[in-house]
Amino acid sequence: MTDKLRVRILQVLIGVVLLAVWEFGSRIPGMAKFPLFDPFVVSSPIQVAQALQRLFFQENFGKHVLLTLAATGAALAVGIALGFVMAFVSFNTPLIRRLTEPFLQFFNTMPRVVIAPYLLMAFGTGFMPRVLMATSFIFFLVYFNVLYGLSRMQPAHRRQVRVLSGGRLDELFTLQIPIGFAWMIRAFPHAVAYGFVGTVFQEFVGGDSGVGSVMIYGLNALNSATVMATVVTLSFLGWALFWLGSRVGEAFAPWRRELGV
Amino acid sequence: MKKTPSPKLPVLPLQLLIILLVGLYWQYGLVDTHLFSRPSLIEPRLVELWNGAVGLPPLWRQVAETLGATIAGLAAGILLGFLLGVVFAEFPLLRDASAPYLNAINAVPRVAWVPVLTMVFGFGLLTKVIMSGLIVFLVVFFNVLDAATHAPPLLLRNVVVLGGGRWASMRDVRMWAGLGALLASLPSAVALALVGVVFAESLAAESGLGALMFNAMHTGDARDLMISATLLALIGVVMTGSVQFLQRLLAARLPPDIAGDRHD
Amino acid sequence: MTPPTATMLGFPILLSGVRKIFNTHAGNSVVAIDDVSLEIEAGSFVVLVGPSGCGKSTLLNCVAGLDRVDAGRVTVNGQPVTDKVTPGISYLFQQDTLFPWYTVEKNIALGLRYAGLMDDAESQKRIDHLLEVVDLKGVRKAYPSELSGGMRRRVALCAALVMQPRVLLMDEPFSALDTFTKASIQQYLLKLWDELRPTVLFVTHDLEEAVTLADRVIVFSRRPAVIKDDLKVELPRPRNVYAVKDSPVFLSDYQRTWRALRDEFESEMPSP
Repeated sequence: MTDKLRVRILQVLIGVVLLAVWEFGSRIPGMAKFPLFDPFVVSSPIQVAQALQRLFFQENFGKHVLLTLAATGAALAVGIALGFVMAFVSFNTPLIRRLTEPFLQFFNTMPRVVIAPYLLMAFGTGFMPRVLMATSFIFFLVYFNVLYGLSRMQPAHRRQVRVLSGGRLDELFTLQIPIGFAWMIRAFPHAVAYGFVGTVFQEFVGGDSGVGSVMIYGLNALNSATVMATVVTLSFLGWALFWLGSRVGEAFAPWRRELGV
Repeated sequence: MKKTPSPKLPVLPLQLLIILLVGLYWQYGLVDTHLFSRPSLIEPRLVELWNGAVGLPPLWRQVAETLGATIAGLAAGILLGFLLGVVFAEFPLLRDASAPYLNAINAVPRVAWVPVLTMVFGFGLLTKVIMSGLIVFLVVFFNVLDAATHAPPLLLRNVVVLGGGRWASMRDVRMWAGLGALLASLPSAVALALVGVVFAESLAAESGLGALMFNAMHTGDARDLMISATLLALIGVVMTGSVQFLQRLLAARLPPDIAGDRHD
Repeated sequence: MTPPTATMLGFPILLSGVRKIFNTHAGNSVVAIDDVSLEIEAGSFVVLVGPSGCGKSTLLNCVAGLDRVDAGRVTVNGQPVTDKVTPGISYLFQQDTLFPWYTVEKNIALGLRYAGLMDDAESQKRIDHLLEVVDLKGVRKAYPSELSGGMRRRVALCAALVMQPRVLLMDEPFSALDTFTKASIQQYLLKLWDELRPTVLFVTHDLEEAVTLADRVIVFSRRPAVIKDDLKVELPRPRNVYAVKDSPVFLSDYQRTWRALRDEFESEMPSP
């Protein structure tokens, strides 16, 4: 039996066992006392499947999913653009960099989730606060990664530009931007993942729509099937987004390897 | 970066000036007090909260609870993540078979675990620790697994040649490779541990700084909101900052290949 | 250190009709070694030379049991080689395999630890003695990163010898060192070998090194490797690495080895 086949069989086996325990665990006498096996609390695969069907086909869940995705996408666009540009400004203007460094470090290391209440109170429960929350995650990630990449630029390459009579603009376009771009690509899947977290969290805290809000609605109604259904949906979306982000990154792969990124 | 030959303009006074100006504006400027309150209003409330205002546990205890949950979650997540990371790296069958499930769990945006955990474990301290531990585990585990799997193949071969088995591989090679990744990811782990606790407290927990903050949000109390938010921010910055400082200290004193060089 | 007795001599090694084929990623098969037969005397120092990539390292791997032969037999001390590395065989690789997170003494003691021999007072004496012979007593508690390349190789040498192996396999261990560091570590190697007398199979592409160290030099062709020449080196033992280079015997042995290899490359050499 080849290794690959063995792995596949084991994977399927594990999956089957997990599903079986989830579905039937509560029926083992005595187990239902533990909240982990109480079907009221954790639901069951069949109920979750039913809940998913209900959500998508009867309760317009798809609209919520699209909203969450749209907010994440918008945040990506804004966050990446801002982070990218700021990193270049910082790198090329040492004064600005030194001036802003402690402030940016502070906002980077503080738990950014504390701005959620402010976003809610200032902007309400709509689209905007979600985008802002997600952007805050994405901006810092991109900013620090691109800045780091630029700071690791080889002096030998810089000298080469000078030797070939290139000026600062030449260095910017032929050296800095490709490097910055490669590092941004490297951070991209993580930016997507964190942006997604930010969006969902804001929906949690106070959103009138989106997957996060549906989850809260399910929780408030003590409907564990709905809650688990949204978890499953989020898992799938999260995986899909990260995978997409990685594919985009792969498209520039060979070139990145040279840089050691 | 230090390519400017000209004498550096001192930025510290400028930065302090900025902070001072912001502070002054906050107190005297055109600020939405419903959102941000003012220092003069906050100060008495802070004193009041510290020893226990009406219906609320003392602030210092709330701080302790949040901090305690963070540290507990951090410790649990690191321990479990490190151990499993090294073991899974040594037994590829285990790693490959469980990969899809672990990846599925990892793909869920962390905050989504809160409702599930709350349903199972309730609104108390346990949920916070588990939430925090789960997030830390996921980060540490995957980083350690990656590093331990890609441990220097020459050294692994050397272990075989010297007559060592699986246990020797893990103890003499993979563990150290994993240690490097662990140290490199420590600041993120610390920050995430705190965030995990705040996530858990966001759903109407009874106590803790995060609970205070979100309750304040619901009641529209700008003072409590500012106090709890600031405390959380300070805790986060101090914790992450100290870990980064520790990291730099260790990096200088430990043999290389342990200090790690990740940047995420 | 107790002087070697007959029972502590190295194992004899026998290769007969050995053939080794590799399958490349593209699906082709490459014959690395083609029908090689060798009889290696117990306790002798045998050097294998040949062009890069000709399969000499593969031969070592076959003796160690790290690679399996496709035809022929390999026996060590009369026992056929299996998939498990035969106890009593030490292998020193070209690349640096010191564990960066362990000190010099811990690195040397690793083999002892795996064999469960750590607590023995005898083991500590062994480590002491090895470090003394290679003049590294002072850096016992240092980390590899604090040492120079030559010092690290000496430590690796000690680590390979601490188990008092009967067979010592060495794959271009000194090729990364500069001329004089190389000469001094060759001298250390010969000193240690003299005490323990394992059978040594030493692979190198440096002809000068081959003649300097060996009792017997075996010259291999390009891949697929076959034996082109097999000469006994009649230089005295114990050998002085620095002095031998002045000896006419050294020169004639060197030239013979060079000539054996020359026709492998004659057709490709650029005209002057």
